Amino acid sequence: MLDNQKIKLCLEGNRMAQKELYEAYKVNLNVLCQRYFADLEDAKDVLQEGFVKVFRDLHQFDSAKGHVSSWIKKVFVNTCLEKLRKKKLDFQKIDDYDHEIVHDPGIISDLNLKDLTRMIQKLPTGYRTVFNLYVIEGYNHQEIADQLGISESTSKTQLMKAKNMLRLKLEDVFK
Amino acid sequence: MEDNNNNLEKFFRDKFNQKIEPQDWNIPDNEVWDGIASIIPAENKRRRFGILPLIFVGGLAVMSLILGYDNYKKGRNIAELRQELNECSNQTSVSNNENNPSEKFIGESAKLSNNYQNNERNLSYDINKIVDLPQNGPVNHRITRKTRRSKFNQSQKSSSSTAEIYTNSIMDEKNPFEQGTDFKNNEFITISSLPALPYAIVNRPNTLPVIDFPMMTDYTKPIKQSSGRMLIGPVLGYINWQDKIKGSFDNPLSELLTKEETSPSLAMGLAFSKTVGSHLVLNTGILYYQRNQSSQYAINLPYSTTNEISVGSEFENRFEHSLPTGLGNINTSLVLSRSINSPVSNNENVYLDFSLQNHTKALAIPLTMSYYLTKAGAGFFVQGGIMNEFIIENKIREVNTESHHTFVRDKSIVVDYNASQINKLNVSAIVGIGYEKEIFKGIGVSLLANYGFALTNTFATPDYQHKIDQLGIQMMFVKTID
Repeated sequence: MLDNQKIKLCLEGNRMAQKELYEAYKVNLNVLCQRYFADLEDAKDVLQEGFVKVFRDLHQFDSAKGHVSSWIKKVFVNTCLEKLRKKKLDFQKIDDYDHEIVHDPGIISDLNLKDLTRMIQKLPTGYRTVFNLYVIEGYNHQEIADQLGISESTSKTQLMKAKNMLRLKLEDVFK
Repeated sequence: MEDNNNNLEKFFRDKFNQKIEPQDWNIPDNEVWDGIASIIPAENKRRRFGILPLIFVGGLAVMSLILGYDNYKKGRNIAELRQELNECSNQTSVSNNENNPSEKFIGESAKLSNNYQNNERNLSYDINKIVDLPQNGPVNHRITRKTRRSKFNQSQKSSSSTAEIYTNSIMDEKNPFEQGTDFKNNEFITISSLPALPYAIVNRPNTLPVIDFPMMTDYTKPIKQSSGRMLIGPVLGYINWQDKIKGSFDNPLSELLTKEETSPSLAMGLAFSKTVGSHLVLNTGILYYQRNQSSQYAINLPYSTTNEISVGSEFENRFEHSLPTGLGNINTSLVLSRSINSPVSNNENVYLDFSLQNHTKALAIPLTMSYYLTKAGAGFFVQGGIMNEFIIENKIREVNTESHHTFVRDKSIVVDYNASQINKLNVSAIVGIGYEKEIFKGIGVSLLANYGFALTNTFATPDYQHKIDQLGIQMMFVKTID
């Protein structure tokens, strides 16, 4: 837990406090970055860039509006999206997957987090991004459309296709 | 189909939104932190303890400079006086060869007297010898008492002056008083204060004393020390606490004490001092302060689904802990809960952050001795002694928990605390340096910086000991009460 005192120390540039913040969130945020980027080097770059933004913009954090972990996560998601925009992500040219596979969720619960992360990484970038934003980050389609510069219907389609593709992959795993 | 969609979404959401355990694949390389550290601003250590100590230290430095310069000036005045005295002595000897030395001598004596008066120094001194001079001629030797008395009698006869000066000791003669000499008629007067000298000399027309001035140090008695002087006054302090923890805390429930620190305190009280020697002052007093001590724990609990209690639409698990704090063990009763449909497997780890704050009120009674470098009650001093701290109240407040698990939440926590286990008396060894200056008549200000090494534990078990050192800055106003 990062209390206000620790945040204040981070703002003052206290290296120990900054390291403590980094240590507290590095694992979750590294996984977050890996969910958005299939290339681990890209994920590492975004992880570093995200933490720099966190320390740089920490004064903007308002504890009355929520917990610092939520704020940090939002900073990282935005950093990921910025990086994706720079990579000229084109959501309209993504391959179509129309598989509709019904799978027993009880079986996939046995999959560990690493397997699930790798599974998401194998999704096309557009699918992956929309899936992450909608399913895991909790954005709605309007917000995703605004963030990515696409229409809501595109977002919905991308999500559906992402889920179908994941089901296909899960089927392959349990064949 | 719809259910499958929802299940898939929920499954992924839950998996990625809980605290993730570190594993090889998800721990970033060290170079990531190195890269971050090379970009983000470096620490500004000057701001670590806030601005208040800086104000104290700055004020202390400025005051030290001013008072130091003041003392330097006074020291120089004394040196100048010594030089003048020596010069006078030399000039007086020289003047023995002059035709009329009396006027010059009287002038020098008057000058000396004025200097002393200007300095308001109560200098007592003895004149070793006063030898009558011939009215118009040099004195080349010390004259005998008989001669002197003869000359004195002559001067008595030739003058109506009533003031006479004499000393009771002559270097090469016995004390005339010891010999029972009748001085009544001679009206010898022993002077003990210099300012009276010119008057006596001026009113002695026919004979002039020759004063052989030794070094000033021979004349000057030590400045009267205010031994036994009692002082009282208010004291304000700022105390920065340094927590010292020894040992470890091992618990099957894997509570990890991640941090324990005490926030700085403001102190106020009364100080009493008594001068017990020319350089020594005994100090005591009473100080009141409050302090907050925060303890933070990272807790990892295996959530059992087999021991759950069904409460409405939820399952609950209860956990009892005993946690060490700087002021004793606390017992916690934690309730974790989850919704009935949440996918939690048996003994799944639940990570929790737990923090609490101890609030303490204390009275401290110092017993210290100060050694002043120049004289007691003025200037720089060093201090040593002990500080006795009495805990008068302690309570726990601000208990916080936060679960990092997606489904398992921290429903409630009750903290049971036994105040009697606290060590009510804590003793520290105090060392410090300070400066004292009289700012008005009988009123002085004293600035002190000290460090207290804790000699006793605030709380200890065989495996865990907690001490609190203190770094303090104090300002005292003291008034002499006798």
